[in-house]
Amino acid sequence: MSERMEFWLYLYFPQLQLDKLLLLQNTTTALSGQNKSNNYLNLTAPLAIVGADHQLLQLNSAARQAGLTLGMGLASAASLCHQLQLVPHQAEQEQQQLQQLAQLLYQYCGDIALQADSGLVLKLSPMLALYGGAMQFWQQIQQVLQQAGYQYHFATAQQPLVARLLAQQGWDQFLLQKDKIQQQLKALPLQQAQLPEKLLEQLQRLGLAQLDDLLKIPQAELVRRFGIEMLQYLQQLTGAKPALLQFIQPVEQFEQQLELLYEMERSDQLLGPLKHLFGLLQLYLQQREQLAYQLELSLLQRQDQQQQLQLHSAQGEYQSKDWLKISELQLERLKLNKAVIQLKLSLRRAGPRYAQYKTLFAGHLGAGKAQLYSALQLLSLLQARLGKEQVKSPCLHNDLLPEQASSYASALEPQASIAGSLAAVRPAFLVEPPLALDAEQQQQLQLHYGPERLSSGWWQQQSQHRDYYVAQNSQGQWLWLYRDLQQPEQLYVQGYFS
Amino acid sequence: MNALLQQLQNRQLIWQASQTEAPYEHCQSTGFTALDKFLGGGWPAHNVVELQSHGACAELQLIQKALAGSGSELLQIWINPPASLCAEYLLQQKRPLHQVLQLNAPRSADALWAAELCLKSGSCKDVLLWQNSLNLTQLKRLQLAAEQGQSQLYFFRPAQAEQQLLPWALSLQLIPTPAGLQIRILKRKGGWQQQELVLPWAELYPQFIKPELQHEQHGRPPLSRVS
Repeated sequence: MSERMEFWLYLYFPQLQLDKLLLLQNTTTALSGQNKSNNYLNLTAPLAIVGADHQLLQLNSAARQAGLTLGMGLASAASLCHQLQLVPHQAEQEQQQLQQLAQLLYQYCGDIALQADSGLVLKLSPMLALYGGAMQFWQQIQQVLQQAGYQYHFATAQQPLVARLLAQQGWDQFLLQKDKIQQQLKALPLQQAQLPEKLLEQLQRLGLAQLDDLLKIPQAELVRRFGIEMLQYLQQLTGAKPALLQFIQPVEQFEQQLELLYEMERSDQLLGPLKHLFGLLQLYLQQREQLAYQLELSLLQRQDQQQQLQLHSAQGEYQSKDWLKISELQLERLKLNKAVIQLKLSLRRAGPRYAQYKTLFAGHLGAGKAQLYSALQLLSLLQARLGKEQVKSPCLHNDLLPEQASSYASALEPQASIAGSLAAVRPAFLVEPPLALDAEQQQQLQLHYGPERLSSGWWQQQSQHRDYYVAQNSQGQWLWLYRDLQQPEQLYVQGYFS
Repeated sequence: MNALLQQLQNRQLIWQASQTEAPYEHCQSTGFTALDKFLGGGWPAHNVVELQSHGACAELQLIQKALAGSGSELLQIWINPPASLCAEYLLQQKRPLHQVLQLNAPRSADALWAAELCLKSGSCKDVLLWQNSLNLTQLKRLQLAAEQGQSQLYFFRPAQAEQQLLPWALSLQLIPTPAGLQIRILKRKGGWQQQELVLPWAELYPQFIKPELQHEQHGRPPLSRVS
């Protein structure tokens, strides 16, 4: 019974590479709005993607209007349309795009298999119960495909092969009625039935034109005459033997590459393509309920050179706009060595998503005013523009000498508290290294407080004994001075009261 | 006549004596009674305050009580301080060290950008900025940001001879004298020039100046060898 209920959806993407070009152009021009360079493809003029055997594989609308058809040879194409632009077909890149699409759809369908000829097979039957109906499920899938922006054809059937034949023919029907699908299948011409070349020729010589003719003949007879190849084909067509499919697994690591349409020389131009990458990241993180803390952005340049940027967020962000803001600040500071041809974004550190720490009913902000950035978000933005080492918090070490006791730690990190009482008299600022005063300056000092003796431990290499004073100099500035007991005539400025 | 007055008032060309009572919407007490009276209430809240001095003359001490009043849940930002911060001093002021951020921005544009971002973020209460110059647009931006984030900017600047008139909510000049710190108001919104106030050192540095001892001063530290 369950065997009978199995249904498959086949999605066929006829022009992945061409659609990608169009999409990229839209995002880059919309954001940077800048003029085109000379080696830039004009996508409104006739353009074709050419395969290795010099056949036209994908055509844009302008090329179709010029009278070109798919499968045409290069020579005849050139004679029909002399200004035709040619782009070599990149099968590998298409396969990557297909993989990406499959990952997007994985959110909605558990069983997805990649097909060699730009197609995806989705197993419908287990999903229908989940979505409460075939149409609801199909609407979800359609939404994803629409957002991805690629052209596609589709068909459903009880066998993957039948769905594929119908989808590639451009049937575009989402039906779960056996008889209608069977009817459509029977009308399919034999040339489009994807039979092995030899078999097709033999069958055509017999005068068979449609699949219907083939299906009428008893199977045993056909197999006896045409051999094992025919048997396998018929089994796939009728679903007598389950299809061998390898379903995809969700990716473990986020790593996306983006080939730029043209070389970019200014760093602000990169924001357009980056937005696209961050959009993908957002989707990845949303699906996993995660936040990204650290990203690595590689800017690949000609001659295998590259520049790398580390993007940090102390609070963790998943939204594309927040990452765009952080990267904008870093790109402002970046000087490109060479024009960039490719971007690569990889996720280095991520964690589970908790509730955001923005105080909604903030204590000090008046009613109706939300906090713009939380402390950690503020820190990320400051670090992105000023540099990580320029933003820091003071920290206290367990030492008696003031220059050892006060130093800096990484920003906003809670520190271990140190037992013991605090000294009464400490200035706000410390001078490093201590400043020696000359005799004249020493004469003009006016002493107000002191001495306070500080001795460092005898177990330390250079044990120090100092007497500290508070004094005012001739300009009326308040200084924190000390003299070393080894050379009591010399006074040093250790800090300023302020 | 009345209509003319109304028109002038609408364009804020008329100053009324009644405005002097509360020149700012909100004030934060400075913690010094004499200074509060002198300033008509205290520091203007959610605004920019300028303090001009040669440095090291109790300018932080002056705002310290206001800083302590801000509580410790929100960040305190120090931008380009003249020397490194003393952690023990901050702990004396009951300020958790990890709630203090020091920023070093060599370019003044970066420093102002950081100050504005911190002010409007809503996660900082007090921002302390050391900078030499500021123009009208920059000041306006900082004031708007302070209002948006309900935060306070203290702007420290070396005393200068030539003065560009800027619409500070409050601008003070601090001059150390033997008796105490002399405070002059350079600009105060809705107020007028008053005579100076001298705040005795003993009030500013109670931890090491005892008022009864103030007249008896040592000339130089005793320089005898202590063994």
